[in-house]
Amino acid sequence: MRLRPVENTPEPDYPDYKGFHQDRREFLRRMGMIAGALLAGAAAPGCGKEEPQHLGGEIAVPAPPPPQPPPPQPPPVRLGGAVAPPDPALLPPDEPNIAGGLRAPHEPGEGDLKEPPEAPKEEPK
Amino acid sequence: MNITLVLTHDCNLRCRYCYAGKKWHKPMTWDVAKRALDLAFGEPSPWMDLSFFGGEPLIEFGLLKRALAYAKEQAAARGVLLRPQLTTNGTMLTEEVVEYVAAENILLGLSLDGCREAHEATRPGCGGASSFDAVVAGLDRVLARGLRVEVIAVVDPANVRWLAQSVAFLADRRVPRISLNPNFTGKWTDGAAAELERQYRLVADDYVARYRAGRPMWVNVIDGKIISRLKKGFCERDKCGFGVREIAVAPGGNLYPCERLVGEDTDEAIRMGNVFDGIDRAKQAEYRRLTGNSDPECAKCALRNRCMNWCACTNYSLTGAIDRAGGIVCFHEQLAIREADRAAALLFEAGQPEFLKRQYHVEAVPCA
Repeated sequence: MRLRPVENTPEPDYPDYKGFHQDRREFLRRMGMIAGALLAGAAAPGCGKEEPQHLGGEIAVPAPPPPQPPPPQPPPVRLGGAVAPPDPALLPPDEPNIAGGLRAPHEPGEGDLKEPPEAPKEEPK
Repeated sequence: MNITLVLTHDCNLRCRYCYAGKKWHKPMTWDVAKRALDLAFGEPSPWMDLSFFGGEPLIEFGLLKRALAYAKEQAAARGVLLRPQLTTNGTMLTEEVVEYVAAENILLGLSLDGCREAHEATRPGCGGASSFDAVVAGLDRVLARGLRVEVIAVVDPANVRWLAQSVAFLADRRVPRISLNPNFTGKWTDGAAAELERQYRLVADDYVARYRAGRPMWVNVIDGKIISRLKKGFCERDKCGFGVREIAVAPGGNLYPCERLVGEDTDEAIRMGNVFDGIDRAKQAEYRRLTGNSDPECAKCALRNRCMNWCACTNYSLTGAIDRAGGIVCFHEQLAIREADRAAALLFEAGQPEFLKRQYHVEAVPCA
């Protein structure tokens, strides 16, 4: 049984992993700003609460900073006799593939970083 | 590196779709097993998945234990991460075996085609007797002991009508991972393919319903295709290392690029050396070069990165070429992707917390 290839890219109604987390970070950032603004408003004069002491120019309640990526790590130093950490591309799959079983892709992870989806091979001329 | 030791051709079942061929009593010798392990440990790899396969590998339980003990010694001496696994038909999972599997932290692949009707249609014992009760008893022992197990259910034209019922049976037993393996080489008539389509739809519906009920299940053809969408396709690490990162050893010592191709150990075209003379490096280079898919029709397809069209052993069995897909693979992959996406979209739209936690690794997502 041979089907026709699917020519139009189907866009299922759920985001990929990267898109989801980008959207979520942006959403959390906005929520943080709103929360900060609300708290600042609540602490403003006339709200019936004791006004906290501020230095000139200080923002009352800053919005929580967006999560920062970890600082870049220096490349590992290989000492004499020491075993260098394996290249992520050489890491074993998170869960071994069962012999005789159908392969399923592993969750997005470190070992995927260097491996974009396979591009189709060119038809030999 | 993944090495699979096919400990014996012998088996106590007579599955109708078995690709292993005749069930003669020709077990692997200790000499072959040791040479195979030495060969594997000689390959540069920081990790090793050691699989025991058959026939039914537990028929040679003594050899299995000896081989694993030796592999553990070698791994410890070389600083290699060793991960043992065993694919079994489940009929010989006695208390003694289960205790051993637990002690050695072996990952189990247990073959059970689902509910009684489905299993009995395809996996009879010698003489035609049912193996269902023995296998389920073994599975229950394994689940009670809390072992890591994946149930492999072969989907065949002869049992496809019970597929959704079978998945439900396994999910109700709290099997942690359900792996549906379509028998691509089976006789898939139009009627059988239509039934497969109907059953996958029911499986996807059940998948959604179980999430909603707070009892999610894991099914490879649904979860795998969702993950393939989330990460935009299979990466190299997901694919089998056909003859390069993966080698199977026949009981007699011949080497094959995949355990599924050992069969009766007669296919010289695909064989790639033996444990006595070593790996045929020219063959290995050829497999490295060819692995993937070179079908121009596939290259045009928008689903190519989410498709199993690279599965070399399936391709070889269907078309004789390891880089050309055939049979119902295209139909199956389009169907699985469609149903997986339908289920995922429903769960995402509902903001189902367990689904978001599993697939996107978040504890809670505020409503947008």
